[in-house]
Amino acid sequence: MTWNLTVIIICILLFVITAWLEYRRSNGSRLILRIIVSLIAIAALACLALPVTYKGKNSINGGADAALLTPGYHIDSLSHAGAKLIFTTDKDVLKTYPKATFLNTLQDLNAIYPAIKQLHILGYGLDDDDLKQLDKIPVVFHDPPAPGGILAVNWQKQLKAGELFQVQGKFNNTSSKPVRLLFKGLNTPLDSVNIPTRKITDFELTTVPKTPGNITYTLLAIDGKDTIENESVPVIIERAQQVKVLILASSPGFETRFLKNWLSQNGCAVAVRETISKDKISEDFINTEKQSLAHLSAALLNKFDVVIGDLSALKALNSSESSALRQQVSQSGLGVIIRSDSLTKETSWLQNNFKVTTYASKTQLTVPLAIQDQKFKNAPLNIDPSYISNNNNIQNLVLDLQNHILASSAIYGTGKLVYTTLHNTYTWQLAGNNKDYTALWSILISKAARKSPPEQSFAVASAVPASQLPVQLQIQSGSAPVQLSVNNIPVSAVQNAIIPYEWKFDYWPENAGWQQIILNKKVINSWYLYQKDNWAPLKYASRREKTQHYLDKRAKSLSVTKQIQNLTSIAVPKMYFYSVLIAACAFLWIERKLHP
Amino acid sequence: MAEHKGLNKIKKLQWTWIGYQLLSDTLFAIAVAAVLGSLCYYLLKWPGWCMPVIFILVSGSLFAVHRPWKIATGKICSFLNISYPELEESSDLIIKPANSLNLLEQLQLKRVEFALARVPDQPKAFTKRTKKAGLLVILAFVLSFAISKTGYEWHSTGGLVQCSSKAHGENSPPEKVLAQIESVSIKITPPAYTGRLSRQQDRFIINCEEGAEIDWAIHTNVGITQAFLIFNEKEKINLISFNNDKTRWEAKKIINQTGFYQVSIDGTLSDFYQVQVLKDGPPVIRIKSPKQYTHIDAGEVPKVSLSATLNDDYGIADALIYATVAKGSGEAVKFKEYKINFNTSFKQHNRQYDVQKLFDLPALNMEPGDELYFYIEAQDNHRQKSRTDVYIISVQDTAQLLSMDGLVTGSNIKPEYFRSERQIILDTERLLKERDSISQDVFKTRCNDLGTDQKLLRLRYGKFLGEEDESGKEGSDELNKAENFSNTQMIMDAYTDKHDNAEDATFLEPAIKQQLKATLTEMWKAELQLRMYKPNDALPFEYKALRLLKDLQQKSRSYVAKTGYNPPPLKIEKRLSGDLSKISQPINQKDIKAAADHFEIFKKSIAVLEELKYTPALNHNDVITLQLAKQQLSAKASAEPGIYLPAVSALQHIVSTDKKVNTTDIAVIEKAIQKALPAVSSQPSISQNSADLGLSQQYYKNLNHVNR
Repeated sequence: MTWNLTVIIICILLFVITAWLEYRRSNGSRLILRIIVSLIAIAALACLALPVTYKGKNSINGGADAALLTPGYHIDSLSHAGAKLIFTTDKDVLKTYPKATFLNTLQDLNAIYPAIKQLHILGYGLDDDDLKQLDKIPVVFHDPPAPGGILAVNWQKQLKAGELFQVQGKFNNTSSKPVRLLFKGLNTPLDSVNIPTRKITDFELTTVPKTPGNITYTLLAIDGKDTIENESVPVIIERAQQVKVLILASSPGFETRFLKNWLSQNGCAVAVRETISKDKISEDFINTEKQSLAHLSAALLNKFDVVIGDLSALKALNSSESSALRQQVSQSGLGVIIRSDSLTKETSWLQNNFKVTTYASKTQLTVPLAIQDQKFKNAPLNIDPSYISNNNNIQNLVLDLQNHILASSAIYGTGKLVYTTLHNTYTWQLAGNNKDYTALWSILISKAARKSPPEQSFAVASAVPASQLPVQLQIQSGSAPVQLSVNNIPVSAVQNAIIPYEWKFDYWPENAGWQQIILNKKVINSWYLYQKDNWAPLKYASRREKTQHYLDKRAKSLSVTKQIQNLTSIAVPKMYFYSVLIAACAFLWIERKLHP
Repeated sequence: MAEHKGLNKIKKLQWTWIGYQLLSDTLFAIAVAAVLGSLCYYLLKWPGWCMPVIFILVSGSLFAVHRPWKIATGKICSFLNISYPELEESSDLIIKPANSLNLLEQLQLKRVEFALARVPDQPKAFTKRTKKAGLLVILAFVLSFAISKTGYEWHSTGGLVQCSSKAHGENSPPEKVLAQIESVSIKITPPAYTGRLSRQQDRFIINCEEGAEIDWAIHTNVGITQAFLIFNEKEKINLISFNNDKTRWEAKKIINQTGFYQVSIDGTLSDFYQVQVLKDGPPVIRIKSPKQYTHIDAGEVPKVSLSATLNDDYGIADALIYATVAKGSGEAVKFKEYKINFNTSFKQHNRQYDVQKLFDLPALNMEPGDELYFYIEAQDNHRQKSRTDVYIISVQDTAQLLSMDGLVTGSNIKPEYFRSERQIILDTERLLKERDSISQDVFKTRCNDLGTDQKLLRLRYGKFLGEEDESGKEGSDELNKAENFSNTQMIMDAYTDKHDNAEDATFLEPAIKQQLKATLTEMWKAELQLRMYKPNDALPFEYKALRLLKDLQQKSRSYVAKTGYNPPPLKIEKRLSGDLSKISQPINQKDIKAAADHFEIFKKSIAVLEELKYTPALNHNDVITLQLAKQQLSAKASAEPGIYLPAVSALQHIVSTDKKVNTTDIAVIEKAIQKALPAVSSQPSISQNSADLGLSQQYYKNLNHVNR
């Protein structure tokens, strides 16, 4: 301030002296013009010394730009952004670019360098937590191309023994060589797929796990000889829980007999009620205690998970039996597998969703079947040409090659109805083809079977839990999970305000590997903690998406404040004042030379 | 004269030079061809003729560049001028024509000729290049010899049986050997039947023939008190010390089984070493001819040639044909056995033999109707035998074919047809028998008559098939009658060929029709031969026709055995009453335990190993699990050591050491277990409901309520 005042006083004095000298000059012509010109010259001189500014819109090269380096940034893009201040919050990035200033949190940025005009985010962007700290800093996100590698992946976290384990995802191959994805389990290659060059390709890798328990599979991406990704694929394989089956048959038959034998060999509890003559039934009990099957009551049905019956046997049930069955299915989730036949014309509630068309003119066909979730075609089977017509309420389980439906399931209340027109599946067993028989009946029974009563279910809410980062875990339980611990470290869960049976808690894990969830001193579940560098492309892709999304959302709310922020004082370039001063001085000098 | 002398000398020098140039170029070419050719032949496995081709190419191009034959006398002169100063730069004078020389030149010529006489016939400069080339050839030969040696090594590592053990030693990773062992020398003596020589190796891993004798000679660097070899973790063999220092230990064993072994020195156990046994397969016999069933029709030559190839790994010791002739039929069947040698001698014990044998059926006392069963049995050096399937040769029984038994008793037949074909056969045979006693004309006439008979018979059968009637009743009288004038039907009947009548087409079944057609074909052929006065050739066709006819006749018959069943008397009062009250309802109950899982211990040990990857500490139960898994794996390893042995030693390593567990060990074990476990098939199972405080249950209830 004093400087400004000093300059102004000196300039005024200078003007007074100059004006006085001009006035005193012997040649008095053009006095007014000379005084004005000297006033202009002195004013220009003063402006050179004084900081002359004006309010106006900020131009880009005028402000102090900063760059924030995040993983995956490119050094060329840094020079392109032209930022002077360079920050990073990632220690790995700091190693690659030591000149950058390290920030513990982005909040520091606001505190230490409030004058930042614009923050250029280079690389794949920021995490959720970091994004929240961005606050009101104007940000430019230089959206990088999608990272090379696995961009998305999913697999079943828990499996039953004998089920197909499928890993599906998207791979971005940015290199000029085709990449081979290799799926390994127990150090043995199980499946592989080739990804063509420069393309995002969907992939699917499958295997049937041979051992139960917590197993970590490996997914390798191999580019020629180099391994570019090595990811863990953890899965929990549970032993199959045995099913209790009641078979109703209107007459003895091979199909029933083979089904009974196969179920009992698998350790299932089987009870069979076969009508062998008028008012005469034969009862078989395998792996279950004797009980009278003469009358089906709700209590009796409650002991079984699935009822398998031919349609005429189910229709022949008397009204009390029928209503007990209906109530069990709709209220308690009992499953019924209905084997169609055409003995009686009357319709039943079991058939509501299943309209069967029979081509009487055609004889028996021998066709291979396509079973749901089954990758390979199975051996041909003799089938009757009667097919279930498709509708929106049914899920198709078994099809033939022309996509005729041979078995499908529908929901009835809380239970499931499975309807099949296959009658000769025992011929597979006769031919020694146990594999296809097992596949077919496993899916029919598993689809129909009553779901077991719940205890707790558990889930990891964080996408890729890694060590040194908080992991969100979630438990669904009827009662409050007290005495809950992870790896013997007690944790307390908080109840969801809206969903009363959901409980959440955060956990800071240490070592990678399987972590145990313990409730009431019992291990109820396990979850897997990844190595820190696992699934890097996946994380980058999600960061990139989140950052983009966050900034898009913020852009609208920030548009007003941005303008105010930008209306700042801008210094007028001194060049103009120099030229004015020189022009004025030149005039005065020439004027004196021409008119002495 | 002197002038000629000089000129001759120069010419001589010219030719010598040309000769040397040619020689050196050729030598160059040889050297290049030797090196390049051996490279191509031994390393790139090109055929052998590439060497001369390279030689021709190189020498051709060298000649084309140098053109040694174009060396002129002028060039020789300038060479002489440079190399021999006494010629005073004037040797050119010699080749100039004498009359063109002036006086001074003539004088100089004389001096030059004098000096030229002293120039050696083979100047050193001439041979210089040749010598170099010669040296190069020697070098090239040495080089190509070296290449051939390395090339052989290359070959041998490719899997030749002779050097397999040596090659194996070079390629496979070094073995882990106990610290006390300085060196080992294992002598493998293959059994005599292989005809192989014994060999030495300095590695513990053994690949040997079945029944080979193995001698271990182990040198230790310090004196030790005792040493064993432990086979498959069970069998123990003492090593015996052979010197006072107790540093030389030996043992001997005959190996018959694949497995593994360990060396134990003073209580410390070595790594597992695998023993791979090459089993001697039984001989392989392949019969090229005859076919499995051979039928010799009457009239065909009763000879069958047998040709077969025999193969074995090490050598075939012997092979025989075991033949059985079956005579007669029904209960009167008789068998006679023969052992027939091949004409080939098997004394050389070659790996492969091609053998032939001609069966002369009459020589084996075979008559029509008899059957010959035979098989080949071969024995190899190891006295392993193998035999082929039984092959059957049958000779047609004409006697039965001609018998009337089946025909007379049959119900729905027309005997005269069949008698006719049979009669033709009998007549043909009689004609053949009487051939020598009758004149040529009579023979031909009778032969032709038989042909006519055959034709008539054929036409008669042809009617059944709706074939054309060849009776030829053209322009019948019926058509000429006035009332038939412009009767279209009748005219058409007369002038058209009528095949395949609808009526005839349904007369016989298609299969029978087809066979009948085949019969007619045979009849055609028989007639052809008869018409050509060759009754001998006609006989087989006649027989065949008869056989087919007889088959046809047999087909139309069926037999139903008489059955006798006496039902118990019915209680009339109970009949049709539907009373089941006294029939009890069957109730069965059983418990079927699921079959014990043999691989349970593997599954458990996988769980232990997976845990071990993250928490490197084993508790007592884990150790027991791993011990049990090791037992099962070592049982598998004794059958397939190549696959399971590394896993056994890795398990041993994990169980025995307290140190941090090696992840590669875990990987090796997991890989072996994954291989050992069978594929899991899906099982019916129950899924779990979510724990939702009965929310979904409530939802269904309310939904039902609303729907009502």
